[in-house]
Amino acid sequence: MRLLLLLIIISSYQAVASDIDFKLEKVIEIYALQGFDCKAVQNNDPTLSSLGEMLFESKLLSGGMDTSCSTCHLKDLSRVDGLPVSIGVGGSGEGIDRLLDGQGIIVPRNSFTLLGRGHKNYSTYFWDGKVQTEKNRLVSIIGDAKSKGFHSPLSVAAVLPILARDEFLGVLSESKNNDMESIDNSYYEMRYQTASRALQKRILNTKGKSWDELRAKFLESNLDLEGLELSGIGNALASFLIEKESCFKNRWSQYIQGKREALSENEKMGAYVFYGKGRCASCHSGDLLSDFKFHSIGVPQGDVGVSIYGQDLGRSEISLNQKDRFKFKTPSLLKVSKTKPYAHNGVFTNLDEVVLFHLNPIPYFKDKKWSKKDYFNYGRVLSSRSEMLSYIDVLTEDDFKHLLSFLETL
Amino acid sequence: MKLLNIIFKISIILLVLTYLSKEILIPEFSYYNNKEDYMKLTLACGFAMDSNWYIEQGANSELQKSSEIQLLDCHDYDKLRKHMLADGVSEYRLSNLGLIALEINQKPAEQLALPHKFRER
Repeated sequence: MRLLLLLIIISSYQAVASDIDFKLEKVIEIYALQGFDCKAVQNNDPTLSSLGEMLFESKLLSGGMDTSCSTCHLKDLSRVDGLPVSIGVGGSGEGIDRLLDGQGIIVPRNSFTLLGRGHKNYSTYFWDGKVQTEKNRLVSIIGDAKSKGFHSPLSVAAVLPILARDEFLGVLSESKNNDMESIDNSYYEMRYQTASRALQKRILNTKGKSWDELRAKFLESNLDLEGLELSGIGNALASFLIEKESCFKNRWSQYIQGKREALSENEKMGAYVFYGKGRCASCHSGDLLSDFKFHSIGVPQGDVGVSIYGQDLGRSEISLNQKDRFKFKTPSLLKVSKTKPYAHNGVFTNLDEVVLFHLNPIPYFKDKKWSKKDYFNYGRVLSSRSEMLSYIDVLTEDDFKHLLSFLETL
Repeated sequence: MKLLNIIFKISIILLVLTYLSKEILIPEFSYYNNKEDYMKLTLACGFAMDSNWYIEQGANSELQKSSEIQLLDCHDYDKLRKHMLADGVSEYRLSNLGLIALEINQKPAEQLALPHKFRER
C-alpha cells in the first residue's frame, strides 16, 4: 500500500515539475544565443594596450589636467562612477566625493560601464549613438573615421570625451589661455583637428616627470609622436579596453554554454520571464543584451540635460528627427546589477525601480517630487514611450522578483 | 485446496485494490495534487494566446519571438492536462477547473458596492 502511495506521489510530482531547462533551451534556440565570447573583439593593436592603460589613467589629456577617463569609469565600480550624472572638469575626488566637492562641471548624462564594449558586435556608443557602425560603415560626429586612422568604433568612442568641453577640454575663462580649453569649434571634425595638434604639441614639448614617462611609453609602443593624431590615442585606449576591461564572465553565459547548474531555479524562471512575457529581450536582445536601437521608456527629464533649457532630447540631438525625441540607445545589460544608478540621467537609483518603470511609470512618481521642468514638460516625454512596453505581461510579484534575480546573473 | 483458496482471496483483494486505486485513489490524488497548478496554467496559457493574437497582428519579429516563448505555458498546460487525464481525472472535472480558473478574476457586484455604503449614520 505504501509503495502504491509512493508511486502516486512520484507520478504526480513529475506532472507538476515544469521543466524550466527545456523552456530555456527553446529560448536559446529561438534567440540564437551563444553566450558572451571574450575572443570576439573589434580590430585592435595589442602593442598599444600598455600605452592605452597609461592614457586611460592620465589627467594630462584634459585641458585643466584634472580629468582622466578613469575619473568617471572607476575600476571598483565596474567602470561606472555611481553618480546619476557625472562630474567632469574642475572637480576633484572620485564617485560621491566628486559630487560633494561641488566644484566640478556637471556632465549631464550617466556614466556607463566599459564591459563588453570591445565586442565585435557592439555597434552603437553613447546614449544618443553618436558613434555607430551602420551597414559596415563607421558613422560618427567627427566625420570619416577610417581615413583618420581609427581601428574600430570603440577607438572613435574613446576619444570623443576628449573633445567635450565638460568632460575634458575644460572651462574657458579669461584668466587662462590654454590651448585645449580654448578649443570651441562648433563642428567636431574641426575640434578633432585642433585637439590633435594641441595634444601633440603638449606631449612633445611639455617638461616634467609624468610627461617624460608618457613620451617614453609612446616610444615603447612605436607610435610616432611627430605624426600623432587623436586616432592614435583612441586606438591605444581601445586596445587597452579590449585587452583588460571588455572581457568578463557571467552566469547566464555559462548557462547558455551548457552549465545548467549556473542558475538557481528562481533565476531560471526569471530568464523565462525576460525572454517571454516580460518582452525584455525584444530590445535587450542578443548576447550583448541590446538591439543597439533607440527607444523611449519615458524617463523623466530630471534637473539637467544636454539640450535646450536643460532638457535631454536624446537621439534626436544627433539625427535631428522629430520621431527620435526622448529616445535613447537600449543600454546593454551586461553586469547591470553592478552599474547603478540607471537611465541616461541616472534618475533610477536601483534595479527594481527602473524595471518597474518599464511596467508602470506611475508608482515612481508617487513617492518622488516633480522637478519644475518635468511638472510642465513630462506629457511630451510620456507620449514618446514605446508601444512595445504595452505588451509586457508581468502581472505577479513572483514574476517580478524572478526577473530581478535573473538580472543579477547577467 | 487451502493454498488455492488463499491465492484466490489475495487475488481478489489485489484486484479490488487495483480497481479502487485506478478508479478512485489515483484520480482523486492527482486532482487535488495538481488542481492549483492546472488552474494557474489555464490562466497563463489563456494569457499567452490572448497576447499572441494581438502581437501577431503587428509586424514586430522581436515581440513575436517573445510570444512564442510565452506560448510554452500552453505546452505545460497540455502536458499537465494529459497527465491528469491519464491518471483518470475526468474531462468534466478538468473543464470545471478551467472555468473556476477563468472566474478567479470575477467579482460580485456586492463586493464593489460595499465600500460605498454607510456603515452608520
